[in-house]
Amino acid sequence: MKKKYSCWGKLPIIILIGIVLLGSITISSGAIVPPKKKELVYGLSLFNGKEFASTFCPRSADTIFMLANVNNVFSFKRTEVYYWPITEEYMADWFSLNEDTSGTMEILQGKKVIKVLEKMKHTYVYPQGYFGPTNLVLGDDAEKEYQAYKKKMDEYWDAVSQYYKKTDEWRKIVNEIVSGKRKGKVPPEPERPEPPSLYVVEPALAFILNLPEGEYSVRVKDEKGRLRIGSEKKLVAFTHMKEGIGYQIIPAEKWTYPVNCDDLRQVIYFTDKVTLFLKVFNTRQYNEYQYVKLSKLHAPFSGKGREYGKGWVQLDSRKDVLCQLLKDGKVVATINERPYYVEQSPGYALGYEIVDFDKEKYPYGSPTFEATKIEVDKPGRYEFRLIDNKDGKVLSPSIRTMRAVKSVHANFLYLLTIFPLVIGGAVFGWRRSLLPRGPR
Amino acid sequence: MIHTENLTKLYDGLVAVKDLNINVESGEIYGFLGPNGAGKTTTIMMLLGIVKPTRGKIGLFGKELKENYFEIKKKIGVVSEFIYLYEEMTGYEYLSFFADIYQVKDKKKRVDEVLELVNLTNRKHERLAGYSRGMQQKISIARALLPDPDLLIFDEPVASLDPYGILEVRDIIRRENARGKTFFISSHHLSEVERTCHRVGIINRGELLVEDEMEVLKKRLMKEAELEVELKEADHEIVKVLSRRKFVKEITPEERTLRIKTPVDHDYRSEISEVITKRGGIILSMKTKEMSLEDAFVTITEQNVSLLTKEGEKK
Amino acid sequence: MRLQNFVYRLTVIKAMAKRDLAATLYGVGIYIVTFGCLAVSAFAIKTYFIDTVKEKAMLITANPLGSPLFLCVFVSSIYLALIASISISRERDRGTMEVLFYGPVDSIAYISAKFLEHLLCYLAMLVIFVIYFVVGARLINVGVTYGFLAGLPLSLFLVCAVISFGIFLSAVTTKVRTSILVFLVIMLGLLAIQIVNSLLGGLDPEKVTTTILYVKSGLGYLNRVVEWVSPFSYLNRGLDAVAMGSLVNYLMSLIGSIIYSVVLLTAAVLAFDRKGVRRL
Repeated sequence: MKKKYSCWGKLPIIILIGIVLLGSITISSGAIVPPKKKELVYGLSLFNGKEFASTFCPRSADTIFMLANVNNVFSFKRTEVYYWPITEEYMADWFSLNEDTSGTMEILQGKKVIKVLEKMKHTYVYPQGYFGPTNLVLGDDAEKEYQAYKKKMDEYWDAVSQYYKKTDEWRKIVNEIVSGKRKGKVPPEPERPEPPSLYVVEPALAFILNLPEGEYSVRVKDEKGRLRIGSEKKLVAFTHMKEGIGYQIIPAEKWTYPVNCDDLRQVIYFTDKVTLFLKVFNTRQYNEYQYVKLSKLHAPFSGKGREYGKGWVQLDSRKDVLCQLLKDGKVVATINERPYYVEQSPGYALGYEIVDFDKEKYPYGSPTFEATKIEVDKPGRYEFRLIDNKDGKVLSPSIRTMRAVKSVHANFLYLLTIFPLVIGGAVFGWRRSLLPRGPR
Repeated sequence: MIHTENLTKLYDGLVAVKDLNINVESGEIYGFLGPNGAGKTTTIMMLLGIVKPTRGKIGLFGKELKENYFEIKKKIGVVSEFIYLYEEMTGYEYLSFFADIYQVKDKKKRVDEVLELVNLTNRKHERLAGYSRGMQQKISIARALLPDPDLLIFDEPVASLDPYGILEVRDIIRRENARGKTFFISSHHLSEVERTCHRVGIINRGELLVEDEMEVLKKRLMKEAELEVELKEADHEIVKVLSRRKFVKEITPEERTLRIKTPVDHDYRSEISEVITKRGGIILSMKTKEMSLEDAFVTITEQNVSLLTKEGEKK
Repeated sequence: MRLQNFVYRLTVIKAMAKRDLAATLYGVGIYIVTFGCLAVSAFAIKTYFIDTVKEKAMLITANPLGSPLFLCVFVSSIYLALIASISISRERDRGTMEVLFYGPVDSIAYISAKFLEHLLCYLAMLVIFVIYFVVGARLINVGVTYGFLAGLPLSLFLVCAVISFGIFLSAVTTKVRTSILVFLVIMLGLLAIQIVNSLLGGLDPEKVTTTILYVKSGLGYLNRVVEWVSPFSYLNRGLDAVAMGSLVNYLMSLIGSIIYSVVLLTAAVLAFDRKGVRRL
């Protein structure tokens, strides 16, 4: 009988050779240079409740997500797109190519065109500087805002110019006084002009979309009414599911590690005693996947697995409230928000203390933060909640529970693990008692 | 009760069972004989639906197993050649478990009954791991009897039993058969088959060679009969005269006893008696010693099975 | 007739599951593993919860016992998958399977009984877990949350998927040694894919070459297949669903586990019929 040849015995050797080969190829290969392709894509600036997030819609993404009932900025441009495999996202090289297209945008619901949009002038106004809140200004107002900003900037640079001149003169006077050439007191140093905190982006043309909640599709047509290839996309305008109240909680012991507490189900655990500083925000709950896609549409794997997840987003801070601390269901303290200052310990000792901000004590400083201080130093069941300043009504989405973890009992957890062994021993013993030892 | 039609089983071209046609009637004890590797166990496995036949039909209780699986299986008790037990269980637990499987009514009572039947009542609360081989075989028999089945299939039931155990099993078989149970016993020990079976089928290399009543088969296979004659006095002349007779194949004198072998076609006692009395001999006793299958062939081996069947066919 | 057969099968399933469960409960393995699960959880609670609360002055979480519970579920799943993967092959090796099939036992009843037995084992372990966590939660004043309670019934379905996987492996292998080997190879393989995938994902961009990218991409596709094939992915998805507090994900996880279990158990029955019951 023929002996069947089997390669299974040689399998480990084959695998080993494969690994060695792969390893050597890996070492010898050079670094990657991703290929770029010129594509027409939507450049998007979408409002996420607090600010405008920039993203773009690559060819592989078939749906754009945006918040309903707010202005969102769409532009259909030619640029160079490449896939960056390390971060697993598409990138648009706007610097090398940023070519706008002409035409109109059609918004459809089902197969019916419900709106046709022309491009509109728009600008972003940052009243408190680039890292502050953003306002989107449309139409002629955009140009006005920009001109006003330009004027302010021109005035600022003029003032700066004057300042340098005055400074030179002042130095000259000081030198003369010091050298004795001039008599009199040293005049005050000229004050450097404050730059305007306002920042306004140069207006540009784009499509501004503000749609109620629903599912749509969009497309761009050129002047001749021809569809621009790559412009047909689905559009989902979504809104929040719930409104609530959230906190940014700053523990006194680790003030540089604030933690958000936005979900009603969340409980704050501490040991023995704790001092917390609460910053209050209005929050909204969104579908996690849709919300992530507002800023990460260019990352195909973003939001994966979170299609049905819900997440809270903190928006504007809330100042019209008072905080109540309850112990075992009874109100033990009512606290309002105050400014606090983090005072560093002098010398080599590393440490700090969070104190009430006193303008007199710190004339040149400003509060580190404004928050509501909660102090718990005895065991018990605690809760804190907010009440409206005006009518004293309890804001139910603001209720949070605090629990003091009994860390001294932690080792009992290990002791308890013996419980199944005890049961097993009992079962084993019982079984043995039932079985007689008989002769064979 | 059991009916097969051209039952065949092939393993990668190797014939295990070929065109087997057996018929077991209700209430009979059927012996299924054959040498090791003849296909006996494979046949039993096919009857039980554990091995799928390559082709052919199987009828149990007049029905097909596939269509009436649970109904038929409930009525069959099986003792296999090799004993496989849940050794961590006690005898009582083991039988209770199978009583649940077979949905036995009055479970406790029935379990005690079968334990009593196989004489294991005193050992019922001991673990099976502590049972001797014989006890393990008995518990297997008890398990088979538990659902009071209509058909019992025994594969080498006495293989690991002592003589007392063998007697017990024989009693059980006879008693249950008297109650109307049908037995299908597979073995290569002729003595047991001979003592208990009504009908016998002989299989070799997967083929059924012969199937007949036990007595008929014995007669077919018996080559000779042996007579034992006790005389009042030893007489060499009588021995000489008898040895010259055509019907005397062999004569062995042992003092006053003569052992005479004659053909099985006829009862030669009167002829022998005539010869002895004519010579003046006085016969004290004359007994026919029945030749057993075992005397001729201790076990059915590969070498002599064809002899068994060919010789039978010649006759 | 079909109804009668169904009722009969249920009786047989019940009897076999009861026997197998008793055999497991009379053994030591289940107690040692349960102890192991609780020890791992105790370590997790102490290290990742209590010590973290002490170190960071506070910890904010909706379900502090959720992860320790799922650690218990995960460890017990590995144990159950392993014993399920040898359950059929061991019985075939011993020959006791053949004896069962002399009687009114068919492959559906047999596989179902094996599944039920392991599920009941898990239930027994789950009862111990719950007692432990409830007592432990009181001891350290953590509180039993809704998320924890929601995780309990879900864990049952997730473990079903793992048990089905083990039973399927057992049905397709013949010897106990082969079953254990196949189980270990598959588990290590799945683990290796996930570990290598995350390692490659965390590589310094300057060290990423074309070949590594191809390997990463290939592993990524493989990982996506593994997510549907590996029973432990269902466990992960369940954990995510509870952590997210998403009812839809919770139900999808539940339904996914049921479908997975049904598919694998059906495949196990078919494989079992092909392999046969005889000791080889």
